[in-house]
Amino acid sequence: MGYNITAEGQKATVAVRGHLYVEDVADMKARIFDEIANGVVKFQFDLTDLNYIDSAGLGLLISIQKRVIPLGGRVTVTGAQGLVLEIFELTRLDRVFFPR
Amino acid sequence: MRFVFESLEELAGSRDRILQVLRIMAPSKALRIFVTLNEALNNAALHGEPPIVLEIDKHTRETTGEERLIIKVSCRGRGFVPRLRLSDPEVPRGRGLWLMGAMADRLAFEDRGRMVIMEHRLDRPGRKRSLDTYWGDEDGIQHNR
Repeated sequence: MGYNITAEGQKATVAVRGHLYVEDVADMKARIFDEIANGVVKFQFDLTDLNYIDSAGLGLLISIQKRVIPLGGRVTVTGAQGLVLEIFELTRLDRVFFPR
Repeated sequence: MRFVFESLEELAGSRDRILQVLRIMAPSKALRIFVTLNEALNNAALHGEPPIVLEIDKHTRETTGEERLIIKVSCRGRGFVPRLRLSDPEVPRGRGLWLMGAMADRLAFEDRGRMVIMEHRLDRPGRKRSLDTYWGDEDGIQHNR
């Protein structure tokens, strides 16, 4: 798993690649919460190159969402496809994170 | 095929190998099966106690030729009572069992939750289910309908 965070002002794009497993979550959460502490509250996760996400990865997105909503921010997910898209749909989190 | 893990780190180092095995045993459904067993393994590694044992067996019914992959994941520890309902959108945890149930053709728990058994039929493509009417009781043993 790899990811890049590109932050500008209150917004950041997080591009995630490969497989997002439970053991990856703690490091990624710490990095993103650092960004929140620095004033970033709007996160767009680009999952175009993500092949797999487990339920802990989904939980990470929800934890970030819970942190930024009181600050006026939000989390959106773009680029999900194949199995990753299906996992979002089965857990109904497409309704939470996908832009409308 | 049998795998034994003593920790999450060991499991993490074996995921590619498990997926390789699934691609050989069930090439058309390997990823979907991986989703279910990976969630079961994560639960065992995070909430149970080692050793964590994964068994993957292919069964062929002689009369019909129907093939099934039977997955068993077991661990030690106190066990748990499965709650097979989808978490509210603001709750970070509680989606692993839901995904297992959604993607397996049969899901059952034994030994007070310390063993999960999943069946995947190999003679039909994976399909999305309507989860609104998916689960019934919460007595710890669930069968997909």
